[in-house]
Amino acid sequence: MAEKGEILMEVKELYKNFGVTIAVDHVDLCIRRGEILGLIGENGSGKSTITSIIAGIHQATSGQMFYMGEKWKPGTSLEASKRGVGIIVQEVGTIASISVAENIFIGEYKHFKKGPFIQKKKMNREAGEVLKNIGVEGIDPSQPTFTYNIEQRKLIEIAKIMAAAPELILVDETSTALSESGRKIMYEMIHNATQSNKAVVFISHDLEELMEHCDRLTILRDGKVIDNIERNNFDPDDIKRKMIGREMATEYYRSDYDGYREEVVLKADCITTMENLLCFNLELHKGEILGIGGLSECGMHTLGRALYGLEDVVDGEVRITSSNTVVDRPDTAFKNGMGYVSKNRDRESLELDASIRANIQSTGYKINRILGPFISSKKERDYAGRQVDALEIKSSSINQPVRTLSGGNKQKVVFGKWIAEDADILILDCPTRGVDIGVKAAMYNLIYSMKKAGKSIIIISEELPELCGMSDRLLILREGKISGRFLRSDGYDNEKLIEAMI
Amino acid sequence: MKKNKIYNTALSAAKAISIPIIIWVIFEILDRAVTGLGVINTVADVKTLLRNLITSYAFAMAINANLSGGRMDLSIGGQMYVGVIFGGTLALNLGWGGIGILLCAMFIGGLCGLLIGELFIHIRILPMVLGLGMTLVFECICFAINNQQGVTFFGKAGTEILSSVSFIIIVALLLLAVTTFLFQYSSYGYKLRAIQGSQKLASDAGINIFSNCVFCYIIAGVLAGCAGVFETAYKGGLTPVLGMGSSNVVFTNMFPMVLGIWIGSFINNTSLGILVGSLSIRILIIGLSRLGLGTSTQNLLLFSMFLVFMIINTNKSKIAYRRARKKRIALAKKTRADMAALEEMPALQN
Amino acid sequence: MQNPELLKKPGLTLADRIDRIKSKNSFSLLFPFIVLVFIVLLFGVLTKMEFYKTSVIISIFNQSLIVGTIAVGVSFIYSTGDIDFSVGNVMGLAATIGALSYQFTNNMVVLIMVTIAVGTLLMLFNCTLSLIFNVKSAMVAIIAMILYGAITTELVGVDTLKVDYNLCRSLESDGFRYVSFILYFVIAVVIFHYTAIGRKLRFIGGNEECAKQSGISFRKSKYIGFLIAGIGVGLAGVFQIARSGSVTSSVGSGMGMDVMLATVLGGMSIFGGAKSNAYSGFLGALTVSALNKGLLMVGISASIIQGVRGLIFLLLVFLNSERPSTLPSRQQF
Repeated sequence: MAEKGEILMEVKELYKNFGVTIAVDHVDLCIRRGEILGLIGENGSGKSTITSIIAGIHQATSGQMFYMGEKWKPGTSLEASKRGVGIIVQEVGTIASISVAENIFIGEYKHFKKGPFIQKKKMNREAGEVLKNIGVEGIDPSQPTFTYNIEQRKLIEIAKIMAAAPELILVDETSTALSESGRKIMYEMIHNATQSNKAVVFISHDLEELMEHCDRLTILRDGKVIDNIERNNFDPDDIKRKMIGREMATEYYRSDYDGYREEVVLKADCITTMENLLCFNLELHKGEILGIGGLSECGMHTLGRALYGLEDVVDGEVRITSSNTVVDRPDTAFKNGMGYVSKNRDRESLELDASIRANIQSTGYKINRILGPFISSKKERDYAGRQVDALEIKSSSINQPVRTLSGGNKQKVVFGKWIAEDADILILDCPTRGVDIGVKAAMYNLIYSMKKAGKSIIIISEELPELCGMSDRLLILREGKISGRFLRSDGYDNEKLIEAMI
Repeated sequence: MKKNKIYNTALSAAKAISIPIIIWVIFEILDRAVTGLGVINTVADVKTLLRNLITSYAFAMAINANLSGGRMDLSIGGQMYVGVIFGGTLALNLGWGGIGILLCAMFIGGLCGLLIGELFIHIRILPMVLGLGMTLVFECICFAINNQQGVTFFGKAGTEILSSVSFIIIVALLLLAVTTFLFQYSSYGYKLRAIQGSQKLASDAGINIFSNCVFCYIIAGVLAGCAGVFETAYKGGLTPVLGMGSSNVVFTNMFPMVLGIWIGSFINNTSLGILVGSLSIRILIIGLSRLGLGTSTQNLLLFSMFLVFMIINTNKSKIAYRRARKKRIALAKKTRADMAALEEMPALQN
Repeated sequence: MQNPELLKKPGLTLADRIDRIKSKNSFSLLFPFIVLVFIVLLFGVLTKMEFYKTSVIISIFNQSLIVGTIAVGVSFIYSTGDIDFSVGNVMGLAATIGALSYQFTNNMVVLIMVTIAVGTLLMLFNCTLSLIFNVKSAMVAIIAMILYGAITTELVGVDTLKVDYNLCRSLESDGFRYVSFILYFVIAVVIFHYTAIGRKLRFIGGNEECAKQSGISFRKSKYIGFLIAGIGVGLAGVFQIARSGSVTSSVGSGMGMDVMLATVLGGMSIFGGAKSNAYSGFLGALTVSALNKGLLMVGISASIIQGVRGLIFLLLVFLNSERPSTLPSRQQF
C-alpha cells in the first residue's frame, strides 16, 4: 500500500557527461510519495538532465537509481512511462498535424485495435475522458492539434502523461508555456497527485512559484547538489545565493536615471497587422531603451516583428526618420541600421550548422569588403573575433558549429552579430530567455553602453523585473493596445504594471 | 447531425468525381471539333484506358508512399524493372500465368523495396541521393542478366488475363481497399502520420520510425512491381535501359499523384483520390492524343497544364489570405476614421 | 564506494572521435580530393601506367567538361537548398536554339551568345516559377525537364541540327573550350568564395528565416545564383555543340542527374547549407569520368560499369556524410 513519506525514487551518485561537458556530477536525490520536490538552479546546473535520465530520455554514464525499491534503468521514455514515471518536457511535446486523441494515445494505438482496424471513435471518446479528468475544457479530441494554441497543446501533453496514470510525475519548466488558467490546472493536478500519494518533481525558473507549491527544494549548481531545504526554511535570498554561488550584486540592471533625447528615430504610424495590432502608434527616441511588456499573447511580439518589416503591415507604416524610409521588408530595415533579435533563437536568429564565425559575419558582408565586391577574410575574422573576445563566448574554436554551444553562449553570438554591425536601432525580443544570470548581467551592461553611445533599443520581454530594471520608458500592452505608459523617472510600481497587463 | 454528415460526404464525392467528368466533357467537345473523333470511340479504347489507368494508379501510389514522408525516391522505376524482369521471367519459367507473374513481380518489387529501405535506415544518406545511386544499380542488374533481353509477355500463355477488363477492375479495387486500410485504419497508418508530424516525438513515444520507414519502401516496391506488370502486358515486353532512363516513370506519374492528393483531401481518402486523379489524367492524355498533334506537343501541353495546376494549388491559400487582408484593411481604415473623429471631440479632462 | 571508472576524466569514445573528425570542415574539403587521387593512383597501378597516357587524361578531362561546367554553375542553386535537375534539358534547348541561330546567321559569335543567353533565360524562368509562384523547386525541375525536352524535340524534329563541322573542330581544338571553361570556373569560384554572394546563398540554404532577418535579400540572391548557373549551362551548351557538331532531339536528357551525382560525389550536399562550395561539381565530374575510364580500361564490361559506379557512389557519399540520429527527409512538394 502506497504510503505518504515512503521513498518512491532514489538516485545515488548519478553522473552524466556529454563529451567533455559534465552535466550531472555525483548527485544524490530522494523523492518521497505525497511530496512535491522542487529543483532549482541556473541553466547548466543539471536539473533538466537529471529528470530526463530518471524519465529514460537520456542514459546516465554511471550511478544508480531505485524505483519502488528495485533497480531502475529505463532505456526509453516509453519504458519509463509504462512503469509509471511520466515527464512533461520543456519543449513542445505534441505533434501538431495529428488529432488530439492521437497525441494523447501516441504509441498506444494497438489498445484500440479490433482485429486489424483501429477504432477512432473509441479513441476519441477515451481521450475526451482523460481531458475531463484533469479539468481541461473546450478541446475536441477529434480535431487536429494545430487548431489549438501553445497553451492548449501543453495541456493536451499533460493529459497524455496523466492518461498513463504515473506514480512519479516530472514537470520540467512547463509553467512558462501556460497562462494563469493553464497554471491553475497544472497546480491542481500536481496537488491532487500528491494527495493520492503520488510524487512530483517540479522544475521551474520561478522561485516564487516553487516556494508556493513545493514541500522541499533541492538547489543545484554546476551539476552538483548544493543544498536541500524544507518548506519551513524557505528563504528567497538564501536560495538565490546558493544558486549562483556568489554574492549577487542586486544592481545588475542599470542604476542610472539618464534620460533619452527628444529626437524620434523610429515611428509606427497607426499600423495594423493581420493579427493583434489595430492602428497602433509608437515612437522610439534616440538613446532610449523602450520596454514593451504584457502577457504573452498581447501582441508585443507581433509589434517587434512589424517594426522590423517581418509582419505584413496592411495599413499605416513604420518609418525610420533619419533616412525617411518606410520599413516594409527586413532587408530595408537592415540596410537602414536596424537590427532584430528574435525570441525563437534557434529557429530564427542563428544558423545552427554554421560556425560561430559564419554567424557573426552574416551581418558584415558589406562592411568587410576591401575592393569592390570582394570580401577580405582577414577583415571578417577580425569582425567575428572581436565579438568573441568582447563577449567572452566560450567555445573550443571559433569554427565550431553554433549548435554545440550552450543557450547563453548562443545568445552571445546573436548579440555579437548585431553589435559588430553597429546597428542604430535594435529590437530585442526576449533577449535573456534561457540565459544564465551571469550572462544576463553582461548583456544588460552591453545594452546600457549601447544606449550611452546613442543607440536606440526596444526590449520586448515577458519578465517584468527585466523591463523595470532596464527601460527608460515602459509600455504595457493588452490585446493589441497600449494599456499603460510608465516612465523610469517616476519609478515603476509593480501593482500598477500588473493591473495594466490583465 | 447524421443527415448533415451524409450530405457532406455525398457532396465531396460529387466534387471529386466531377473532375474526370469535366475533363472528359471538355475534350469530347474539343476532339470532335478538331478531328471528329471522340475521347472514347470503341470498346478497345475503354480497355486501353483501364490498362493505362491501373499502371498510373499503382505508380502514383508507389511514389506517394515515400513522398508523403518527405522522401523522393527516384529508384522506383528501377525497382519496377527488376520486379517485372526477374519476377516475370521466374513466373514464366515456372509456367505460371498472368496472376503468377503479377504476384512474383510484386514480391520481387517488395524485396527491392526492402533492400533499399534497409540501406536507407542504416546508412542514412539523403533519400534522393540514395535513390539515384540505387537506380544505377537496379538498371545495371536488369541489363546484365538474360543477355539484356528483358522479358516478353506477348504471345506467352496465360498472360491474356493481364489485359482483361474485369481482372483489371478487380485488381484496382483490391489495391484501393488494401491501401485505404493501410493508410487510414491500420496501426501502421496511425504511426506513419505521427512520424510525418515529428520523427523525434514519435520515436520518443516508442514508435519505431525505422521499421515504419522500411515498410513504406516495401509498399512502394510492391506497387511498382504491380504497375510494371500491367505496363509490360500493355507494351508486350520490357527491355532494360541504362543511364537513369527508368526514372522517367516517376516524372510521368507526378501529375496523377499531385492531382490525386488534392482530390483526396476533399473526400478524406488519399488512395481513392489518387485513383480518381489518375483517371482524370488518363482521360486528359487520351483527349490530347485525339487532337492530331505530335507526341512532344502533347507532352508540352500536358506539362503546361501540370504547371498551371501546381501554381494554382500552391497559391490557393494566398487567395484566402488576400480576402482576409482586404477585410483587415477595411477595419483598419474604419478604426483610423473613428480615432480621428474622437480627437476632434472636445478634449475630456483626465 | 569509489568506482575506479569514475576517477577517469570524462572523454571521447571512438565513435565520438570519428564523428569529430568527420565534422571538421577540412575533412569534407579534403575527402573528394583524396578520393580522386586515390582513384587515379589505383587505376594507374591496375592498368600498368597506361592510365597516365596523355590521350587518356585529356579524354577524361573532356568527358567531364560539360557536366563539370553545369555542376559548377548549379552549385549556386544547390547551396540555397533548391534542387534543379532540369539543367540537362535547359542545356539541350539552349544548344538547339543556338544551333538554329547559327543556321540562320552562319556566325559563330552569334551561336555562342545565343546559347548562353537562352540558357540564362531558361534558368531565370525556373527561378521565377519557384520564387514568385511558390512552386517547390523539385516540382519545377520535373516540369521544366519535360517541357524543355518536348520543345527541343519539336525544334530539332526528326533529323539532327547540323553545325559546320570545321567550325566545331576549331572550337574544340583551338583551346577555346579550355580557356572559356577555366575563365568561368575561376570567376564562379571567386564570386562564390570571395564575395558576399556565396556566403549569402549558403546562409539561405542553412536557415532561410535567419538569413532574411540578417538583412539578406532572399529574392535578389536567388536570382543572382540562377543567373550564374544559367551562364554555366549555356556555356556547356556551346561545348556540347562543339563536341559533336550537331544537336539531336535527345540532347542533354538525363544530364541533370549526372550533375547531381557529380555534385554529391564532389563532397557537397545537394541540400546546400554551410558546407557548400563552387568546385565540388567539377571535382565530382572528374572523379566520375576517371572512374568510368578506369573501369573500362581495366576490362570491366560496359554493362556492369554503371552498377559499379552506383555502388562506389553510394559508398563514397556514405563515408563523407554525418550519420544523423533520425532519418533525413524533406518536403518536396
